[in-house]
Amino acid sequence: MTIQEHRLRIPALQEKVKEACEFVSRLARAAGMNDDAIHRYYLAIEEICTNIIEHGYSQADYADQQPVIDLVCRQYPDRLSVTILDDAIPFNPLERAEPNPTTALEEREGGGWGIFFVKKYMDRVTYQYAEQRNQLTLEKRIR
Amino acid sequence: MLDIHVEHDGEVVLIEVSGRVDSMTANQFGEALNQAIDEGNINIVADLSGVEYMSSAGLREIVAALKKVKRASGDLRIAQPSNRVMEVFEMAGLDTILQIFSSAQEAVGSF
Repeated sequence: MTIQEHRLRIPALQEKVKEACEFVSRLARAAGMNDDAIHRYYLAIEEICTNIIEHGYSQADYADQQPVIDLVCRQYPDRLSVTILDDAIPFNPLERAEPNPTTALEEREGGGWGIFFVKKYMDRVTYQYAEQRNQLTLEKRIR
Repeated sequence: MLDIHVEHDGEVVLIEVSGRVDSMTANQFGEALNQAIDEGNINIVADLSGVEYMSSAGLREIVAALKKVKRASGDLRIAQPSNRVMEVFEMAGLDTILQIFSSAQEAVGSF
């Protein structure tokens, strides 16, 4: 089985998130995904990278060095897998309580929808903490 | 960057947004909504016909503004969301909270 692997490292800066989204979109298109699937991957990558920047890396002092986010994309014959790696403190976003779409307006707090959308848009989302890095893997079937 | 155009139509403020509402640009949308509210406008229409993409950052701005105008007995109504934006509204359950119209004219006229 042939597996194609592509990697990208971006500085953990909001203005660089688009680069990560476009990187994955290009690979999704090359893998044969349709426009809706590419859109869903784009949104998922934006949500995850934004969470890492706003929550993960905001909790520590990285003044001496620019933290990074790595993306490893693997194209299998039937699916595309994207692993997003960061060096923030261990945090499994899949264990976070899900927001409830039926919550009344006044009780809505605004957060948590990003990972909720990711889970809806992807076929499989898995987390592991390995080699001192958070590793979240998003998988979607190609057809 | 978003293109945002604001116009007053009687008691209603119409905010036309074009571009991608993402984590980089959502604050622009939020500022336009807040400015309208801070100027005393509580009946607002956001025309999203030019928005092809909205992530959770955009939803946060809509929910925050909607709460503010509702508390003042006003409303924030949405016109012409694309299918992709509508899908995000539906996933978050906002399609049952927001009043959504197929044209800006209809949304403005609903107040």
